[in-house]
Amino acid sequence: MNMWYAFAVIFIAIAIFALQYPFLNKNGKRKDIWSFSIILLFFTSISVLQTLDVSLPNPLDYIEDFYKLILG
Amino acid sequence: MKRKSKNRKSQTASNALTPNLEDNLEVIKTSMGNSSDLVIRRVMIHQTPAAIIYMDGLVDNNSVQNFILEALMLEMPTEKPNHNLFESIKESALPIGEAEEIDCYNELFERLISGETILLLEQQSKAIAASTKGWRDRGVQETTSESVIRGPKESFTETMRTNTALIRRKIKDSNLRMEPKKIGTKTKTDVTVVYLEGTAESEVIDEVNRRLDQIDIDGILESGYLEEFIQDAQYSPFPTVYNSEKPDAIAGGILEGRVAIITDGTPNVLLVPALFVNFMQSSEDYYQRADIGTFVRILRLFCFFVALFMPSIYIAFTTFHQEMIPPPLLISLAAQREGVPFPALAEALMMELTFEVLREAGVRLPKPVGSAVSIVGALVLGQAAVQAGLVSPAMVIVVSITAICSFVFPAYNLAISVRILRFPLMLLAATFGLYGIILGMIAMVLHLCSLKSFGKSYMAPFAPFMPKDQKDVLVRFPHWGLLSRPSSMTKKDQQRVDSTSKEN
Amino acid sequence: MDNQSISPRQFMFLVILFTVGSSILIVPSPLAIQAKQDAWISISISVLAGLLLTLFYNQVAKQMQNKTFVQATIYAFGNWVGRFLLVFYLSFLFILGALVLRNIGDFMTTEIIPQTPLQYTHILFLLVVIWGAFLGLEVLGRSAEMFMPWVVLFLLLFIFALLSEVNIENLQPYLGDGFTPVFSASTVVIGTPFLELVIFLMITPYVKDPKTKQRAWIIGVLVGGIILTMITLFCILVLGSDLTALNASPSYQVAQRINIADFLEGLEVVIGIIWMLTIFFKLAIIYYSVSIGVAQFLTMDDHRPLLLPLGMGMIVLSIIAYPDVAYFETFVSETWFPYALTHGLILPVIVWVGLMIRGMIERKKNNKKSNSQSS
Repeated sequence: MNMWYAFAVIFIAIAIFALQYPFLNKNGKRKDIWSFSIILLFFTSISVLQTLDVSLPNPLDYIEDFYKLILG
Repeated sequence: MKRKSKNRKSQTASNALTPNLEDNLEVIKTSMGNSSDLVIRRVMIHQTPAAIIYMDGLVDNNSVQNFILEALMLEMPTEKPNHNLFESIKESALPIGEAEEIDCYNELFERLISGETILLLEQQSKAIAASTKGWRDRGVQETTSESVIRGPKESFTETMRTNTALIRRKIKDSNLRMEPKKIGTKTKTDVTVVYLEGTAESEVIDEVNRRLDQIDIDGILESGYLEEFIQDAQYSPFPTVYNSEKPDAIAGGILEGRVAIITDGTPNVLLVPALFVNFMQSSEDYYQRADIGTFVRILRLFCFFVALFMPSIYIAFTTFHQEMIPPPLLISLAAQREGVPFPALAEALMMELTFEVLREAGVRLPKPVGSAVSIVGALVLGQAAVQAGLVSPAMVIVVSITAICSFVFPAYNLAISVRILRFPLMLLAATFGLYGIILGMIAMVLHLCSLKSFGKSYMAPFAPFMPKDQKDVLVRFPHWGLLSRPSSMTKKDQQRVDSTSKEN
Repeated sequence: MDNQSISPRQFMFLVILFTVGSSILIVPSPLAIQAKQDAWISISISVLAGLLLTLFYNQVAKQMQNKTFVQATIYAFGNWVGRFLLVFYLSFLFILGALVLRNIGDFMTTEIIPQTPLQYTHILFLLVVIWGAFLGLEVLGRSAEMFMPWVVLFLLLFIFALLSEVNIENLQPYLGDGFTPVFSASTVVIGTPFLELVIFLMITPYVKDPKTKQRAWIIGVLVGGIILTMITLFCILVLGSDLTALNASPSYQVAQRINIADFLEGLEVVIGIIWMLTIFFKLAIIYYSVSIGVAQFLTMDDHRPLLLPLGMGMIVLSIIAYPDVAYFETFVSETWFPYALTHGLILPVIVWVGLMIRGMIERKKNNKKSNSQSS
């Protein structure tokens, strides 16, 4: 079942890419396309991991630890 | 690019008239393909062969008879004129208002087809075109689609001249401008842009002209063609161009500094810029007393919400939020829904669709059959479906209230958008309950706020909020209080009423 | 970026909605835990602190001179140091967005649509937020104008309808435990929403009329603060401090007490809708600022392509951000204040100082130039 969710997420990511690529390409800025693709890829992989029930690290934990360290 | 091709066309086709009458007639006949309605009457004027050409049915037979044929054949001065026969005919023999010289085929055909009578003379490479336009039209009749209790009942007709005259008769100001245009390569439809110089914003006028001039299409049969070309929001259920067939509504719009676009061949005149509030207002609001007008406007806004949200709220409450319904009501609702085999969404969709079908059928069918449809509809919807246990009576009530509320809007095109938007809202309600409805509403408001009509914000004067304009939106002040024109439409020539008009 | 601009009035409405949004759900409960019946005093103190903060933000905004906070930081500290600071700022905004999204999701799935899975609630909400951010700030400002009258109307209705349920004894004894818990509780409200107002440093450059926009900001914070205070006060007056502390969303629970003439019940739905509207605007502002900030961080021309990818990330973060309500409550009451203080006060101070130094350097350069030109 989770597999299907993961596929759905990948499909959505592809749809987003297909939707935005023409606009980005029109401006003709290579760098924009790269940064867009990297962000999309990063968040897509996180989403896929989340749908596959991989336990992801919680950034709030790090923040909590950090302030505990500072404030004692 | 476009202009170039037009130039080329005119160069090839605009070969000038020849001095030989027979040659000219031959060209005209062959170009028109020996049309059956082309009338060529040969006459002799002072021993000079001449021909009178017109399109039967497009001209006023009386004026051709009395003012052209009679004038040329019977009433011409008998002695030979001392100078050119052509000049003397043009100057003194034709008792007709508009008579112009033409010298090329292009113009000749254009005028011939639009109903003018052409006079050709032997030995002349020029022709006279006399305006004898006149054909049967419907005449100014009572409006059928926007009826009022109080106020003028006349409506625009299919004839451009009648329509411009109807506006002129309401606004007798020399600043009323009417700019003619021809749109459509085949239909050559007359389009007139009407506005008040000095009141309408020149940016809006320029924008209207620019968008109209851009249009390159073979034919314009109704103003709806133009509307789709010039509207701002192509992908929006909401209309951004107002149309009406009531001269008083259009004149009122022109007085507010808006621009009207009259299309020949249709009684529906366009008015831009059109804001959301314009579709909620009727010209009758200004004829009834101010407090009544205000009440009716608020009622319409209420009906807008009911027509849009009623079915979805019913679905949301019966499927998701039963605990929020007061217990006695919940019991009676549950008792009604007992035995109904469908979920609320299916029930609602079914009923709404049936109603839409009935309405569409009622509009298209001829009147006698239409009433039969409504009887069947009322019996089937109101009685049989409930008794058969297919739908619950509450659902019938919801659908009927929704339907009645959607008839309240004066503008038919806003009613259509409400009808369409109801369905996605119902789906959202069936999946997410009230949460979905609210999010749908937020998305709709966001969309509405992003719309523009000819540079004016669609939701003005609510957003951006214009305190001065609130006098004529939800509340209608009495006419002596409507001191200024709506600044959401125009910033020029603001004063409308002198504040000393009513002092007692 | 897009040349959109909003009027000071629209800006003020956005500030009000931002201040009220989501805080209205999550603030009364931790306040009542710490300060008990004196929660309204500590929230008043926080409003004062919020006003002082706004005065400071206005100074920063003045130094930024028509640049957003992201652009100004890069300008002041250069490409690398500036971007290093901005990573923290943007991640703060991003986490804030995810938490706000989780607030509305939790509220909806516990109170209004318990059958719906959390993820779908988040996705639908975020889709509308993305639609708002896509249409831009101008549209958000205008919609705020459309909704503001309703928010005000229903808040007034809320207050008047609850007047008969008020029990003054719930407020007594005043300052029973002294000032210490009152002050420590006020940090909660300073942390959310007032330190979060730093986000408007991304919005101010797009506000027309530099004179009145400072005033608009301050009035917005004041009005928003008063609304928060009133809601907290009514929660305690009607429910009492113990019940307020127990409930996850006391401002919604208190609306269930509304009963006009035994007939108009169930008005809490309407109040829920108002809370939802304010949270929508809060999240839309956050989301717009994050996407615009990231776009400026990466020197992209348009923020719109980023909206959907960032949304995927925000949904995942909102799901994994906290496993349960208890975790969130300790996070809000313990960690959030120092975290928000770092990004809402210390970082702006650093940027402010950096901008002033940078300004002095520029002026010296210009002086030198003009000197060399004149000589």
